[in-house]
Amino acid sequence: MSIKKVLACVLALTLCVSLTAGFAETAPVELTYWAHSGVKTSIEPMTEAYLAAHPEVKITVSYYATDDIKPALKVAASSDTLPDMWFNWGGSLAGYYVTNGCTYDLTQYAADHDWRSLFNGGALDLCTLNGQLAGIPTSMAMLSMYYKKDVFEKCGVAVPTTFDELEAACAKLKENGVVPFATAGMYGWHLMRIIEQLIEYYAGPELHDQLQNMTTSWDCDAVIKALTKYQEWVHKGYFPDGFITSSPDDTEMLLASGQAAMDPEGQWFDNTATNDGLDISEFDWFPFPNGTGRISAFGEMVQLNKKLTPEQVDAAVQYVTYIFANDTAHQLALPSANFSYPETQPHAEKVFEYAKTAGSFTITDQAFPTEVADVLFSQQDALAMDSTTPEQAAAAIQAAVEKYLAAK
Amino acid sequence: MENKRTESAAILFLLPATVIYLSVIVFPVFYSLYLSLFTGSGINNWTFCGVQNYTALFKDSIFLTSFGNSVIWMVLSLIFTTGLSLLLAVILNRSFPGRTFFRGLFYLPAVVALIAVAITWRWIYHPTFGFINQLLSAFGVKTGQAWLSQPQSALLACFFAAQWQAIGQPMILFLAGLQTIPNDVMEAAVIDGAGSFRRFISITIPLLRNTFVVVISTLMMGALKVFDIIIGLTDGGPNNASQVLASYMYSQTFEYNHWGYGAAIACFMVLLMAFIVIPYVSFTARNQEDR
Repeated sequence: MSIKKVLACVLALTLCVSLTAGFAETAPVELTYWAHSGVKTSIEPMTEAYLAAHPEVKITVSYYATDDIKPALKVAASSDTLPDMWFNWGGSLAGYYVTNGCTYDLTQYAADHDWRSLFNGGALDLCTLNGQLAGIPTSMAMLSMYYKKDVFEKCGVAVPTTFDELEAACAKLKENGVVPFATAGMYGWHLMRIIEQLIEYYAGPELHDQLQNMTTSWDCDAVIKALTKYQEWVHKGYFPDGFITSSPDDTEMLLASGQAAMDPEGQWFDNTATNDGLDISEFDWFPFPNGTGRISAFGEMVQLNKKLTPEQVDAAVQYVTYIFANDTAHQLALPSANFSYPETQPHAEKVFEYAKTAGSFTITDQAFPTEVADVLFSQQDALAMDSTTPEQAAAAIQAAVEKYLAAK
Repeated sequence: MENKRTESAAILFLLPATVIYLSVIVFPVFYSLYLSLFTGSGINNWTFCGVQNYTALFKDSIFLTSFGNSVIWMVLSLIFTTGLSLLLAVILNRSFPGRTFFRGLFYLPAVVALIAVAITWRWIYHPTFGFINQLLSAFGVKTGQAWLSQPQSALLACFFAAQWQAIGQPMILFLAGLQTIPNDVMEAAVIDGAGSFRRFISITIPLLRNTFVVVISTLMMGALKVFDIIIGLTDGGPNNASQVLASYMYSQTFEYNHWGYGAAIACFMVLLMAFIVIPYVSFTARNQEDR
């Protein structure tokens, strides 16, 4: 063999080895994430920064709006094409994926990594569904009544601390040409925030919890009284004209223009109002005077696909906890054991502190399965249109509960 | 040999479109039919139920409401949309200053997505900030009318909002049809003493027969599958008063996870369209052959 041929072989071999050397390096852990578009302005830059600092991970984020992500996830679940991780609310919304075996059970992972000292205990509890830690807690939402301070002052209304005071405040606001509640019924869930407070008032905490767990009949005095009061408030004009087909996105405009006074919202209102150009110092909050002090609450989480490898789970948890604990745009706050809200969310911390002692109940549309919640929503509409009575509405909701339980 | 080569080339060129057509249109139609014979939440727990989903349709009051609303929408489309677009086409076929501008103006909404139309009209109908109520207030009519929140007016409000977008396309088709009518036929009718109304009934409409077939059949199909405007304006409310077949099918499938039932509604829609549109098109085609 000539020297040239030997040299050529050696060089070719060297080339091959150097090419294959690249394959010996670890390929990045790849993940897909479906996020809520409401936090896109926060997540996008933080994700870029995170991926730049962690080349061993590759995360592709897609954004969906509130009423888009729900059907998108269901279609994906039915076609076995769920992303590796996805945003979800708690209760029955996240529970659907747990029940159908789509989610990674983080119970053991949480125990191994002492999540009880990392996360707020309430947040972990809200994310525990059907005996499984169904997702990484990313937010806890606490609902209260946000109100416009100048409207209250102009109408001579004091912040109500009892139910009677609330009714008196509504009457006075109405006398002064202001709609008391900026509520929108198009999808049902925004208006439901008032209904469930009325149920808490008339039922009390124990009965309300039983109603939400569907372990007692909705065709009862407490529910009928609550629905009667709701219908009475509709007749008195305490809700905006056309509210049953108004979009929840439009309620802020009524508040901003001073045409409405109060809006049942979560602590995210501090942030969304600011992003929409409102001055958050013009607003304040109070807990709905439901007689028990409890606040409606729900958790949000990032659920993981059950098919993830341990490396992917680690990468997902590190990414999510980084994003939600390093909120440079002050939009998010990880429900960690010792977190605090930024200054740009002046009310959020107070709402959260209040909820710690006052207690909470799960928001109704997450406590209920969809088919029962939708009957509640349709009865809300029917009561507002006077096409049903509170007694019939209560019976209809109970019939939906019984139908769901029988099918289950 | 040459013919065989040409045939093979033709098949090869048709193959990609055929594959797409089969996978995106044909297969999903038959798969939906298959799904409609099952009940289940869509993940791992299908139970065969035969025609139970179909029999359940006619016991479902909301389905019957949505069916009725879809039929109402179709009838209104046939009368109002066809009539208005024909009228506009006749007017815009005449010669007057700015004709081209007005043709563009009336056609422009047709290129807007229906969901964008819904968002726009939701504001127009707003009880407090909406243009309609503000305009009425300017004329001293204080209404505060909630056009979308009254069960009696919700569907009609959605329909009229849709017409802003819907009349453009049939108007253009009628305009094209009008321009194929020979002038000498019209001139002869004028000489014979036929008035404008008589000319319109006896000459224009018969000569627009083919255009009518296209417009009416597309309007019928469009009416039966209307979806975006309903979801954007009312989401089927208040209390299902404006629910139509497509929106009800969507809610059953994606909100309630009743995939089999939703598929049954979809199959019913296909059958309904076929039952209405095919005989109409066949009848008009047969009449044309007889002539």
